[in-house]
Amino acid sequence: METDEEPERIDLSPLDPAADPERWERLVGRVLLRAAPELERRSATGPLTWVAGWAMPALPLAAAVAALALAGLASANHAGASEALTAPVVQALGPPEPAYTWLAEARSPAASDLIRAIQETP
Amino acid sequence: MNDEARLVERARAGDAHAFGQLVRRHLRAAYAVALAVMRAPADAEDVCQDAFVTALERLDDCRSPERFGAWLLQIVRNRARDALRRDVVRRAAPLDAVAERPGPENPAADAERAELRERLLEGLATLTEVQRTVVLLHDMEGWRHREIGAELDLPEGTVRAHLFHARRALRARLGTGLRQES
Repeated sequence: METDEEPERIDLSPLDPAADPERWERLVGRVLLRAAPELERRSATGPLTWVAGWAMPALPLAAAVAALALAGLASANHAGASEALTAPVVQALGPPEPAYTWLAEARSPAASDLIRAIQETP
Repeated sequence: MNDEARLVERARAGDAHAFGQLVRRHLRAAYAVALAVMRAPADAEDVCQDAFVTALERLDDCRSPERFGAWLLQIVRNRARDALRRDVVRRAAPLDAVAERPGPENPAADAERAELRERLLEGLATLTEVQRTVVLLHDMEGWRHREIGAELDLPEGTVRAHLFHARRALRARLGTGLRQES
């Protein structure tokens, strides 16, 4: 069988890059140098950045939902319904506290309103 | 989660020290695989650099972090083959010449080593890619037949056969001047 008469191991150490420690360290250094920008990018992408990345696309969706809710409230107010009527409806919907203001005022939320609403949602 | 997977997780988060450990752990095998394809040490080094950076950029695609090494070597092999196909890798003998420049202490020994290195490279060039990969991983990196088989998706017996033919061809090519390990 071939394996029984397997030729002896060949000394390939002259090809081993680690045989020359200086050369080896230079090679490692070049790899790390080239990887540095990607490592930096990754370390900058922490949990907060991830949440922000998720939250930004969610803002237009939240705005759309809010707009629909306002349209519903506006139609409920069309027959001279007063703020006194709107407030109980708003309370019944149970939105976050900051949303009371712009819902009660029947105005579209600004970006800052949405951010406050998200931040204060339990 | 094993140690390898922990390092991968930390590297994913941008931990340079963890990535450095992965580089030191796998660079030799990556170099062997790259050299088997490229046949020129300087090109193999370039491919290794590219492959590690590519691996880092695609680290989120590594579904089995505990097998990072196997995943990396696949990238190395693909990068090397792409480089050969496009023939855009620079032919950088100067790097090797610099690395092998005879030192002041023992210029005769250094020259002999450089000559042996050239003869080994010429001998390797006569082998098939898989034979080169097997003999480099086994005789230079010290991998076992089973490990090489797992890496190359080959039966252990096939690995042994490749190793047998590779050694025989190298020895025939290089003659008696080739040093042997006991």
